[in-house]
Amino acid sequence: MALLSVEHLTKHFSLGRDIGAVLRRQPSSWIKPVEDVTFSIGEGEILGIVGESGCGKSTTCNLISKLDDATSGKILFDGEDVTHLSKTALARYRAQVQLIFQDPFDSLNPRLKVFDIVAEAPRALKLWDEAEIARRVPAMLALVGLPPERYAQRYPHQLSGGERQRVGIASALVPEPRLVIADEPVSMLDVSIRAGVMDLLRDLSTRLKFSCLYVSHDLSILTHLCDRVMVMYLGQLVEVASSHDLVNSPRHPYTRALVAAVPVPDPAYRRQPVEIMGELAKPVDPPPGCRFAPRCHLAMPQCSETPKMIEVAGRHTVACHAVVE
Amino acid sequence: MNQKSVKVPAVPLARGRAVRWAGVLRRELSNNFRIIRADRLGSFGAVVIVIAALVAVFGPWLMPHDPYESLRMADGRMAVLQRPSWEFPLGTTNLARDILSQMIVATRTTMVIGLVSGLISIVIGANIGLISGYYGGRVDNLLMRLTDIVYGMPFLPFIIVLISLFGRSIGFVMLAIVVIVWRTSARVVRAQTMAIKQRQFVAFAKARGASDMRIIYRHIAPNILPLLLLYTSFNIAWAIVTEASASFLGFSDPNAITWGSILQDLWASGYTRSAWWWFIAPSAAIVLLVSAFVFVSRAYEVVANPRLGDR
Amino acid sequence: MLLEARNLRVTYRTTEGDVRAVDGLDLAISESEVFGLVGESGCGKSTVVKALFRLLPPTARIEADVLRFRDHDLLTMAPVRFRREILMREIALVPQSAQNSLNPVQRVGPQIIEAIRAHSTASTAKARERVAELFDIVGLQSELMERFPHQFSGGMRQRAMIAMALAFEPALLVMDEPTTGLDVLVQERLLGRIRKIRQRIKSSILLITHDIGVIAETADRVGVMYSGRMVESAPTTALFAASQHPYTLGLKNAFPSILELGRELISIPGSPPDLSNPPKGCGFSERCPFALETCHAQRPALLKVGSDHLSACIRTAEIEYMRDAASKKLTWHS
Repeated sequence: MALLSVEHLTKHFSLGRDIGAVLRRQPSSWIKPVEDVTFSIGEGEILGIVGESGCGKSTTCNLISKLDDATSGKILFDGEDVTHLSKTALARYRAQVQLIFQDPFDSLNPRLKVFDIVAEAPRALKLWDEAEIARRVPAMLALVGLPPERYAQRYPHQLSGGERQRVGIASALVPEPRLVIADEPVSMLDVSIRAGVMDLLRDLSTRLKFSCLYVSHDLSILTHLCDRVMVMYLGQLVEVASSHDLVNSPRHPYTRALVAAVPVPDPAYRRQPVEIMGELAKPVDPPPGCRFAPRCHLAMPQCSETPKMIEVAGRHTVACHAVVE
Repeated sequence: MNQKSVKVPAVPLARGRAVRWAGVLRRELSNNFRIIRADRLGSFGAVVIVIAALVAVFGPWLMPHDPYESLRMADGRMAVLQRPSWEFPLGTTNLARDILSQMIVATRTTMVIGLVSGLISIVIGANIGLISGYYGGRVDNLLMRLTDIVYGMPFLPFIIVLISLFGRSIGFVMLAIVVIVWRTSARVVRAQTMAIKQRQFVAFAKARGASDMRIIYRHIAPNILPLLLLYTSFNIAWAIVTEASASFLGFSDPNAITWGSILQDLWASGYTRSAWWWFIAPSAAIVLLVSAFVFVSRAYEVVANPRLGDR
Repeated sequence: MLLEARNLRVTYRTTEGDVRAVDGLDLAISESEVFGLVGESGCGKSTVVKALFRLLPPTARIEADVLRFRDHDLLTMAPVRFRREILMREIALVPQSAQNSLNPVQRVGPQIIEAIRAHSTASTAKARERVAELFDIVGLQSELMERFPHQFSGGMRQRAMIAMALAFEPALLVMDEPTTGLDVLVQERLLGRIRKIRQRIKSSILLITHDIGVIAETADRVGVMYSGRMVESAPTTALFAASQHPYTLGLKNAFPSILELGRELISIPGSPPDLSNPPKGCGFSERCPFALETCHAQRPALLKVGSDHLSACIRTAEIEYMRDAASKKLTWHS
């Protein structure tokens, strides 16, 4: 059974109207950042979500981590419906599902010491008493490569970006979560530091036995780290495949363009870019059906009906009318 | 280095919180020395405040005469309207009272009123600002409407009403001051809270399971502390001026001696133009102490707005 | 030689002492080439740009043995003369987050027209013609001249800034992190556009970035910066196929590639040195797995190690051994 299962997850919110629009009887605009997303994560799996800005990957993270509420759809954790939770149930959920943030310079409270930052989850959730926390926090700091004697009493501004991100990871892992959602954790770090943090995450996921939902706009990083990768465009899931299949045989026209656009650190390699028309739109009042259709050279009249996710190869699914033809 | 084994084992959370806040305050104070020392006017202000505090605490034991007593001079005459001399360093009033002693007692009263009103108003203002800024929506609307109403309230009529209804007392002066003074800090703290709420470390705390109260008081509040200290200083300055105005106008307890009341006595006696020594002491004291608090606030502006420090 | 710098030093005076942001940089750009300057945060590449364009605060000091553009000595040139003759006309800048450099309350076309008229005697009509031409070069439709910046997408704004920079067909176009912050597809379009521009205009481009993939695709020659200095400089193919500096080797290890999914990424342990207290010897020595005593004590000079290939490492003679060892994780993380 999957650890996390998401079914038809949707998030809509409406923009208010100004007085002019009210008088003209214009309907309010709706922003629809996540539209009918269905996927699941297994035990010990690292699943990646890739997409450009506005594709809904960060909103999906917020919905799953419950920093935001879904408009419709279901979230099942370990078989239990967690879409709507009471306060106590939410506390229990938070102990199992944690979040790693993107900005190492903004995600740590500048007034708290590293020890207190890492101890935040067990304290806020009242998991253990202070004596137990005093044992576990230094152990976790050591596990992420920050010797507690040197780091526990320091403040975030005394640490480098990579070190801060490790503090963030330690603080997410202390409550022993079963699922960790990582929202672009290395995108603000230097290239030479990224590999270390990514490897740390992968090692710990095996050692501490948690699954990981890794969100990024960088396909190179995702395919390196993740077992499977999902591609999102403007709130819709368009393709899911293993890293290898996604890169070597992408099926959806958007994925193809995406893969073809990734720069490769090899001057001898001649990329074959796939041109797509138009510009990335915002998910405001989108037309029904496939949201990539306006830019797709394979667009057909049927595309006004949202395509279903169909399996085209082993564990490789695509949502596109043109592909299944 | 030292191990972080915690000094408070399975103890009620309240006590642990108190210990932590004590640590936070201690850190703030040591920070403060650095900030104030860096700014020359601020240092001057701090020195003045310390002197005033010392006078307030120890003065009454060291004052030469009873401030209420009509005194006689060496030759037996009443020491009425004496100029400053060795015996009466700040001169005497028309009722032969020693102005220096009056000033010393008044310092204590003024400081107490100023500090207490200033601090209470900051506590109220900060909490309202934090809660309003964090929750937004209806709570925010309600609290801000309340603040707006208070903004509309003029000080003088308000205190006149209070006094007409309940009689003259220092308590009412303080009440009136607190009611008037908390509104600015509430506004400012609310704005700052709203800005900090967007920072990623607040989402971080939420994701770790922190309740709203915990986020407000453990995560957001420490980050507005520098701003709070700035406004505390400001509020105290304001409270002192307001109190002086109130007692000058005769709205305070007639038995209490404050700098404003000394000026009131002067005014009532009609000797304003001639007894310059009687006039200078309390006026200078008010100006000096209020400026001192303002200078210290300005030293804090650097903390609230770091770019000012790049001069 | 179009632009030449030798031993360029930029020092900031701060309340905590002097910070050497650029500490002895050697740079050489020829006509009609794309030179990629690559480095991570804190290496000094942004400071180099600021130094070139005189955008440094008054607390900064520029020194160099040589800082020459064609036959103009940039070090001693008066600011007024620089602004009149060199800026925009010979050297132009597309700044970092160029997308935010446009005035939001003015239409885009007029902004560029203004810039052109500020640096020349052209009439408004002529300037407008030129802007239309520039828009064509960067692939923007001419109607967009009458639109406001918020009506442009990120990539389009970037191209508008490039158009402005190309107004006088400068001999050197400096692009500071042009693709940072852009989505992959937009980045792709921009790089393609830069390729097309090169076919029409003979300008050289100094492309500053931290993205090795972009460099590999776009640059003819590459310079790798670390801790305020140039540590390796070579034609792109040579730099990637036959690197001659441990830092370059480390960088390549750390950069993922979708063509090599199975390759293990190796990070470089430690972090860049504190520039307010720069190390005596080689800036990379503290993190280098091949560092010797001499490396910590003495600065290596940037020396020729092949035809048109420079490296600042005293152990380049053992480069074969170093390349082999660097590919193993244990070398870096023992």
